[in-house]
Amino acid sequence: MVNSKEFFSNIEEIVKFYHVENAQDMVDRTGDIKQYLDTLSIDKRKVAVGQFDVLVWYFDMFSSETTMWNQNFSSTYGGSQYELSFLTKNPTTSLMSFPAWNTGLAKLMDQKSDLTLINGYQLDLFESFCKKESETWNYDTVLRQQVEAGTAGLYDFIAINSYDVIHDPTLVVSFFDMLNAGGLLVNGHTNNSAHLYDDGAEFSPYYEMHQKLKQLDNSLVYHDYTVMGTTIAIKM
Amino acid sequence: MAYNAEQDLKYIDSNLTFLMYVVGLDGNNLDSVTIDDFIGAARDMVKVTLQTEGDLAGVQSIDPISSFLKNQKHSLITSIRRFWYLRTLAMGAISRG
Repeated sequence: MVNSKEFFSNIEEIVKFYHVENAQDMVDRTGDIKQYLDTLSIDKRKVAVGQFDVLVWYFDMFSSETTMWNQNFSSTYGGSQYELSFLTKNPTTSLMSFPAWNTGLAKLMDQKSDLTLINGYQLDLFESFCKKESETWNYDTVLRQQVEAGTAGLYDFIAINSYDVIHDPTLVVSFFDMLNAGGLLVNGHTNNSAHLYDDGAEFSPYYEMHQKLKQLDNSLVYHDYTVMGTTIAIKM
Repeated sequence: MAYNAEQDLKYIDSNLTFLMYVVGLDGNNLDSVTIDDFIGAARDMVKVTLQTEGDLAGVQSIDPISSFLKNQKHSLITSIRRFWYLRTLAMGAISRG
């Protein structure tokens, strides 16, 4: 892949989708959030945030038109697995954890299903900076404590990121347990920047997270290894 | 129901308190501990050196025991940093009102 910008531009030419956001949408939305976050005096010394963690740097990455993250189609199209899975499943009920990272997907899920959002910083940033006054939203919310206690209800479709569970990989089972039979759990950012495929990765929480799902009698587990990695589990 | 910052902070603090006990700190001191001391305590738990703490590159070239320890150490430090960051955001939301 000598020229990734051209490579992904060619991919953009051959796909047709519903709500995958374009780069300008990302810049506008994340720019407002970054402006707010900059007022919080977040400690970004290396000891506090490490070298590079998408969870910490996401809004810095996408808030400038000139960053490499906004220079090709792969950044936003990386979330297309969620949309494909959602539209294929056509769920009645859905649960999502990252509406500030992917407001387009949240909008699709809200329009076409009974959407529930998980309480957390993403919900705060979404409600404060991503929802437009002209839009009508009908979602409900649940606390993260309810999710982990298994008291947050049942859903046909659940969209999360590894950041929701990676501090305790067993939590992925809590999410899986909230699926109705035939339901889909779509989990993004699951390949640890492709280190999941390295020798020695079997000791990582990313590997453990997949094993927890595989060990369930009523699960099927699929993994798309492109971009940041997307893992889809089906409850049989 | 809209975003509930108090419940969010409660969730984050419960995780940070747990992690403080994991690294040998008193979880009752969450409001006074510094991230430097927190990460320092985590680093001192296992005397293995990460090639880079934000990246697992190179881990595969070592023996399984060291690889396991480095992965656990990396995960622990990452979790502390993330919850510390999220705590700042939740407290910011609370101060916003």
